[in-house]
Amino acid sequence: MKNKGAASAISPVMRQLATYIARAGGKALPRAVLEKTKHHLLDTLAAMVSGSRLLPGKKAIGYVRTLGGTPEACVIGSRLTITAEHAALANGMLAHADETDDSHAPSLCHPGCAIVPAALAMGERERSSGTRLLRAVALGYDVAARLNMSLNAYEFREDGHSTHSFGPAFGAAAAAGSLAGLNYDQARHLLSYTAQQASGVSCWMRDEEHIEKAFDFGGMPARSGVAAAAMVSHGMSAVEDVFSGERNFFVAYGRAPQPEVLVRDLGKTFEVMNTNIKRWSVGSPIQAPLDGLLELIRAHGIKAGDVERVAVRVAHQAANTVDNRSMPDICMQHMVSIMLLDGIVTFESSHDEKRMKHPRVLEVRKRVELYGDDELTRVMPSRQGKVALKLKDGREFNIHVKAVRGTADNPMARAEVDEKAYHLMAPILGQKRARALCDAVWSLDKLNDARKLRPLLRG
Amino acid sequence: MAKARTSAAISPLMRDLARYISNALRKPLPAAVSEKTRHHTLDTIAAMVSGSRLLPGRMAVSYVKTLGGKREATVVGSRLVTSAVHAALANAMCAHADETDDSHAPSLTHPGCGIVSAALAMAERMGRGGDPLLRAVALGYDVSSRLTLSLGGADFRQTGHLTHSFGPTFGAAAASAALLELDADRVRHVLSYTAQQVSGLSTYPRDTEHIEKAFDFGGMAARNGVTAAAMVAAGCTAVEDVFSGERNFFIAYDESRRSGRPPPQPQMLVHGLGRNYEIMRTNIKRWSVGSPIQAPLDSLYEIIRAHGVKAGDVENITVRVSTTGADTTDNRDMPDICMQHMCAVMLLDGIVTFESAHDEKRMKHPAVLALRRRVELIRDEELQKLIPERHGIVELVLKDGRRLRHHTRAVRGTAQNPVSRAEVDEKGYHLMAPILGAKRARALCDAVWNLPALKDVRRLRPLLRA
Repeated sequence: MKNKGAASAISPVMRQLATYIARAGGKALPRAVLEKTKHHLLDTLAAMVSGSRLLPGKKAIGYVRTLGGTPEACVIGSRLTITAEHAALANGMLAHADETDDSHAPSLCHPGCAIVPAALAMGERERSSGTRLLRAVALGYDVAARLNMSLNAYEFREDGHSTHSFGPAFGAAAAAGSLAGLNYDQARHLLSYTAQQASGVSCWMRDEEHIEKAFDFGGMPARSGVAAAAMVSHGMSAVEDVFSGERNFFVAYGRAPQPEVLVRDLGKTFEVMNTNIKRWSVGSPIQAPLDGLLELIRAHGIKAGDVERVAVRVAHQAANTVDNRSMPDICMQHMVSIMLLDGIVTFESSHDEKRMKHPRVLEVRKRVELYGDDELTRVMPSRQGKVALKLKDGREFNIHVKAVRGTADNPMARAEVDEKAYHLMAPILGQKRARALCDAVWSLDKLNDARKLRPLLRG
Repeated sequence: MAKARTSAAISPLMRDLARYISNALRKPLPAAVSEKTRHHTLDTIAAMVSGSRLLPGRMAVSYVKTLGGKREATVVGSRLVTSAVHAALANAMCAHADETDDSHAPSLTHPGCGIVSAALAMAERMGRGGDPLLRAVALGYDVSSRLTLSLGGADFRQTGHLTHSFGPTFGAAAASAALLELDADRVRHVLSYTAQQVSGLSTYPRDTEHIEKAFDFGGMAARNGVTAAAMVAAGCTAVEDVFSGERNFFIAYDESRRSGRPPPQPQMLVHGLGRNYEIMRTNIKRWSVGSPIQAPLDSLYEIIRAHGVKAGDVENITVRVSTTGADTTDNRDMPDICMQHMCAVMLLDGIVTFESAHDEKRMKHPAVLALRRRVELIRDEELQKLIPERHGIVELVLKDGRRLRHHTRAVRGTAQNPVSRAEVDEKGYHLMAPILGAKRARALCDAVWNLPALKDVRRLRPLLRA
């Protein structure tokens, strides 16, 4: 490599970004960031475990089983241990097998499903400590979100590209590169290999079985990011600065790209803090009403039998999307009934189709009314909801949920993340291992080797 | 899948393309196409074998060695048999480790390095015969060229995208899908997985060690194409028609607003399919040297053969090429891009091989230097006007006073002046013999010529390994 000649041609943005990536493994996270990173790591692990039993997850595991490879990292929910690249591909598809995984609204992506699998696979390969793993994940979120925002995520999607794979591919690469211990020069090469592989068109919404979508959002960016890191760590060199100079990344992509956004507030604003966790494994418009209902149930000790009538209000288009649908997790009336009957909603109950015909559920559902609301339509994209409850004893309760629980404006507590994850994992791992895995994530900063998680992750 | 609902939404274009890909293995190639496909298969295998000893190839082979995998396909030039996806990645990087591989000028691609490696790996995985391999390779060239042309070729590169990976990725996927014998419905899904993965930037001229470039042009395209087909074969489904409908592939890569050039032409994807075989328009590089040196070496070789000229007979040589061609190759440090040196070597040896074109020590040899002093390189304004056609004029003055002149208008190996089987064989043999040994290199050349009779491509393994 002609380092001397090339050094002068490195842009300040690239210099800062590559330096940040190369140093992230050695830099402690602020306490709140460390805590939030654990939330997202556990939330993604839970999505993977649960996803391993859904069609896209089963197909992903079936596919990588045909490939084989050096036993570097485990495929969650299976007995398979294979090459980090393939484990990341499969686990990425598992994490987005359903829609339970996290999301970063300003950059229009689901960071966890690509970044956490890439970090976990590379962490296992490199026998990284839990602390390093968490730092790599936080780094991944920072790079993924900024990459999309540098392209103006909303415009970029409008032009037909997939924000859900571009940013996360860079995030996965940064996380994997950090765990592989890449230095400053290598970090620049890592970004070049990633830029060459960054891809995706936004017609994924036409995918019917959610298998390709799981690849597009999770498996593909995780695979590409890990491949970039593994190739550079093996000694492969690349273009010195893919973000500036002749025909660079920003020439090919973006209407009016802002490369400087790649490093804006890096080390000050941690994007994992701006990432949403989905509290309920149901469609987005149903989140706010379930939040409100749970609040009323807990505050007043309400039972399904006490209820005379429930009126739910959401934005007009939201009401259209979830009005008396045939799938449980996207049917407002059904999910409200389940919450009243069970006092909670789990992944299992929101995916139990049989129960849609159960007499007790149908009896409660008759009392649920759904309305489109002008005021709530005006505040979109903030997905607000109102619940009005009338009890048989004449009492009435009203609640207006302005920030959905789990979103950046109203983050979940550790206990809530734990509860969601535990309920997602227990049916597959068993209660004991699900409990142990949750606890292992909470004390991840004390773990000295990521491979020690394996016995808890396997199916 | 809601088949009944979606089948209506599939465009005629997608239907034609998917059907063509799924039928390709059953359809015999015209004799001339079969012959030319063998030329490109041998030419690419030779580039792989030779590339396995160069830095990008060595890095690729040692990289996939760390990954491991099912024993499905050979990594050329090594003892390794690994999963088709990783064998394709490594072999493709070997095939573009140098610049000896083929090229399709109108689509700005190097089709062989991405497509032949994918097809070879998948044919090995499936234990297919030589004929299916050749049909899959020809198919790959057809899909690859048309894809990049549908996006505007040179215009697409102008906006920063990489024609050299876009087309070949689809070509590798089509070849792989055909060898897996996927039906038309599943081929549509393969094309969707390919469209999601296709990528690449034209920053590659800034890559100094040629490793990333080998990945961008060859390895990445082959890996992604094989992955798309293998995933669908494993039961993964996808979007039914990625080439039409809401937010389809051609919307994302429509750069007409920025470039002011015409928008993509999806119809190009199936234009002349089954009639015009793009492999017939693909160039083979006769000499493993920089492009501007090709025509003068053709002329020199012609003069040497026609008049029995020896180096000792030569008083002086005048070489004329375009001004840019002359600037690129004038007294350079590396042998394969130095015009004066390569002309001297051709006169001394009566031939140029990959080895002699890469022999740096010989640049200081007294006999070479003595002859090199007699070579004069002239920047010709007239020839500059003919670019992108790369003409060359060589004039020899012999010690006995004779003057010999030759003008090469179409470089040997280009579509306008294709090489014969014997010439491809000679190039392939010379590239492979130093690595495989004379006997195996000979056997491998012969095996490619006899591919239509080969029952199982895996039988090539003993010849490809080293």
